[in-house]
Amino acid sequence: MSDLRRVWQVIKPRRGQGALSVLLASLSLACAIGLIATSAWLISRAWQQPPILALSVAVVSVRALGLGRGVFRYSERLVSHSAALRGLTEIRSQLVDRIAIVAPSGTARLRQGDAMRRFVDDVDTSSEFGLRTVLPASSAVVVGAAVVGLVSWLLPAAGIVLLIGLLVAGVIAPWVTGAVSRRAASREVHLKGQLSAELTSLFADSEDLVAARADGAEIGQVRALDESIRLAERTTAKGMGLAAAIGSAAQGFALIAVILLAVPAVTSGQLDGVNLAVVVLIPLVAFELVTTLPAAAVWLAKSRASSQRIVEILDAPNAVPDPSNPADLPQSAVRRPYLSVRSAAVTWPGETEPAVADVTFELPAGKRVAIVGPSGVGKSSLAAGLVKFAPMTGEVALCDVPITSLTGDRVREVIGYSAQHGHIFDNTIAENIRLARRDATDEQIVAALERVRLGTWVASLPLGIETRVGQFGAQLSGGQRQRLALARMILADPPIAIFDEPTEHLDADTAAALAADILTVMGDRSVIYITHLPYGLELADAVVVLGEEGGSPYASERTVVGS
Amino acid sequence: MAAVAVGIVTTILIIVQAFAITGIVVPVFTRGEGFEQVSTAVVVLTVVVIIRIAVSYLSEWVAFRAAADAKSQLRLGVTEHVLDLGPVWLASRNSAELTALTTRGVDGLDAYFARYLPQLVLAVMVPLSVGVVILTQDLLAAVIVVVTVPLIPIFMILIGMYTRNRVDRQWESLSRLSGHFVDVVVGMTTLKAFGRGRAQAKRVQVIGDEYRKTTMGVLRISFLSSLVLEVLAMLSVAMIAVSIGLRLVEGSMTLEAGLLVLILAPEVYLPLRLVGMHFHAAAEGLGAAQQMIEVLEQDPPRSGLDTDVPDLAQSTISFRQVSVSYLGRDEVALDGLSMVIEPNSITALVGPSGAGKSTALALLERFIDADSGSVEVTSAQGRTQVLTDFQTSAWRGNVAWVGQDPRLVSGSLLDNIRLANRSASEEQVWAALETVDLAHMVRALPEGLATRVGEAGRVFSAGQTRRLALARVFCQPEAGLVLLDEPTAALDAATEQAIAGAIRELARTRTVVVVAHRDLLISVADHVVEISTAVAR
Repeated sequence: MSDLRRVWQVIKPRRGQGALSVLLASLSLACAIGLIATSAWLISRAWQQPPILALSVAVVSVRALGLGRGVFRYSERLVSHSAALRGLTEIRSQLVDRIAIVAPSGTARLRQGDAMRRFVDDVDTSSEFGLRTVLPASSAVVVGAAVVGLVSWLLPAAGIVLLIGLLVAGVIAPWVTGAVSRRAASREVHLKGQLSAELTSLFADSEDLVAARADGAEIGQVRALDESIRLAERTTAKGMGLAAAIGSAAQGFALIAVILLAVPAVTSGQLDGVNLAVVVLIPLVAFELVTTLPAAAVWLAKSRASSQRIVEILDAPNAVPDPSNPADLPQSAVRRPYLSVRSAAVTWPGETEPAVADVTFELPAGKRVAIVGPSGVGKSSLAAGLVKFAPMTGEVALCDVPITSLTGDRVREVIGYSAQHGHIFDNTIAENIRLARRDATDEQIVAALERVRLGTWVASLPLGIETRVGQFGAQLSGGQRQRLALARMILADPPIAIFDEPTEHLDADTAAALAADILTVMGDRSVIYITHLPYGLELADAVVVLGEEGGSPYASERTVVGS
Repeated sequence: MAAVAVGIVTTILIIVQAFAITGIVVPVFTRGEGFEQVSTAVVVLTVVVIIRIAVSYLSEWVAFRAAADAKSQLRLGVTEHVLDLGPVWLASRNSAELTALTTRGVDGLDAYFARYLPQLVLAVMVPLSVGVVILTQDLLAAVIVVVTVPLIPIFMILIGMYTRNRVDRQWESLSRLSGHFVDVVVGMTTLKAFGRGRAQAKRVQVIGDEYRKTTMGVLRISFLSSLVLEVLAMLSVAMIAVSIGLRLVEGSMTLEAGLLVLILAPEVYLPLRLVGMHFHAAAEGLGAAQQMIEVLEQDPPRSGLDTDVPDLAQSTISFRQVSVSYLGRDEVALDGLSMVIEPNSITALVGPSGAGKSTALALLERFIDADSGSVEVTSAQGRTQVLTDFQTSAWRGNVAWVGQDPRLVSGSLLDNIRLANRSASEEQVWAALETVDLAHMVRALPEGLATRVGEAGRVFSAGQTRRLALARVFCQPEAGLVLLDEPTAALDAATEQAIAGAIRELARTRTVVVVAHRDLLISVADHVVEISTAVAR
């Protein structure tokens, strides 16, 4: 199944809504054509000066058609946009469903700017596929058939000419556009993903680049990408021009051909003279049906490329699948779990070398172990493995049950994990902490904030815990972010808590204070404290050292926790 | 210009075509004439068709090509200007939004350049000239046109004004709802860690429904303007047709005039309808363009013309009552700072956070301008110049910089250490690594200096990154002034000691200004300047 078809299965409107959109769009187009056709008949007939009553139906119809065009179009736009927005929500929720399963390992390979482009722009592009491609094409077919039928009834040969003209403008012109711009349009989608990624890192690195006067080279890359985009768009422009020319030729020659057929037909009496104006004027308006189809073809090409990029995420492999017959933990043991790690190794999907290997330690209930070692030695990978965010081998058991036989969710209920760059949501302080425990009361949240020494700060804010923290926590300092993450962990209160590099990017005094807090506020819970900095180690019951300086990057265990 | 030429030709073609069709239909219908009598009109029509083909190819191609070029210019213009504005300005903005603006925002201009603008030209020319032709044929139809055509823009403006308020009111909740999805995607690991991953798809559904309802509320109103436009245009055509029909029955009008007016009447309204159709998409693009223009109108830090920067290792730099306010805020970042930076020595800037230490450093790196006061540079020869007289780029060539949050850019480790001085030798690079105590770490890497770093590259700790950035300074011997913002943050005590020693070493040949928090670093300084003027935050 093609990628676009798969995405379409997700976003396509409910049958009723889709059919209604096509019906309304067709009625609207039919009104526009009907208005001119009826008017042409009306004035031709009027010239024959019949009794006025003979014209009354036409007079009423002309007025009704004039009104119908706008009203039907308005209703169609409401129905079709509502359907498109529904599709947008559907595809978003499917994506989130998949990411909920595969994150973080499944999406780790995407560059940040590129990932955003997929989630935002590609999702938007394909969600409008129905609106921009399917709807205009379907309504053109419906109304085109009706118009050709009407003209054929009046003069069969003219009907055939009109049909050929509409097919050329509505099928061949978009096909030519597609042939000229398909590759360009899809290249454009991919190039824009790259440009977005490039700009994201250019802006992020700008301070170092500008200070070193090295921004020129980076801008050169942006310039090169931009040039490729410009050329791709120019090619698309050529396709659009060709389509317009073909459409225009189809219309013009259909008009001339109809005239060449209709004039002798009137002379021979095959066509009633009253209908001559009708047959001649219809080609002038009927091509409105097909003028948007080349753009629809370009949208089809873009939707294909976007769908491919979406499907790559929908199909992102799950590196840590849950076992088919998951075991469970003995209820009694869960409250005071014993974690045992023997010869553990973590290898990220797509990598051949393990990020960390041969790690052995024991964590009895209520103890605190610090895992230290230089950056890049695999401490964070170890943490990811322990909470089943990354595939882990070796003998790792929670209360004597191997974690490979447990579901990820079950493991994470017992082992809480505060990542190095814990995400702060664009929401209030309260909601950011409440995600750790949905039913937490405001009092519990305030209490957690006080335990991480944010109580005074939050109390000083005019809106208190209802203060919004801005996109990605922009309003917070580094220390405040880490403390918010710690407050979450206190509220979640898991039997085992992992903190990954919480003191990174903090100045020494703040770091030392935070480290001490982390190792004390969790009460009788077990703590795994990961750091490459020396703060707080004296408060740990044991220290596991990964990667001796200058030696092998793999673990060498120095201390084993005794029970 | 091209659009105007296309407009003139299109208008002429519309009028000639209408006369030609009338010239064929009327004689054949009314007088039963055959093909020979109308052959001239058919030939004219054929010529019209051929010219139309060429015009539609050219106008479409030119419009989209021009749009592609204009977009490219804007993209590059904004990107370059953002870098000129500098990192301090950039830090005051959301860089993800800026990226979106320069990619997605620019794309929105397609509708404006390629569709709306050319149509706008037609919307002015066609109704006017075709209206005049109608006037020569039929006064009543011309009156209907003259009355209804101006009503269209008036109604659109009125509805636009009415809806704008309602749309603006919805805007904040709309942007919040649409931001929710991205927030969930980015924060999924965190949500999953707290067992909230599975619940999110449902939540996205709920928020999506809310978003759809709010958006439909907005659309119901904003589509009203095109409803009014369509109804006005089509009803006018219908009224003209009916009035022609009634007068033909009475015999008070010729069929020639009647048919001609009937063919021309829709042409009067067509460009107006198309303008209305493209208006929404164009407005979206224009909104983005407005934001880009705002960016382009920001003034970058002043750059003088003087490229002849004296040896800053030997120069004295004096701050005289220098004040800076935060970008876009009333708060003062630096309040009347006066200090003297002596050559060949270490000056430590100390004080509570928020007092303006980093601001003073950013001033010296030319990332920002002072609002008042001046910074003067006095060379060893006694020549005094104002800082802003120097060309920014030339000045920066004489200054080495390590910011508060240094980053490794995408590329190799070697590229990163030579970032400010491409000509540095490998020996210099290794010596620099030795100085910052990282040589053994780099040697232990399988690919050594060729290791890829930055996004998607090898990850280093904050402390290692800082030391790698410091190594850049040692590869840049021609920079007489060295600016360091808390160079020992996130370092352990032993490393801090080593770095402080290296900085001491630097000051033998250069002028060093360092923002310092920790006692050790302050103790190696020759001069300590306390900055505490602003209100600490």
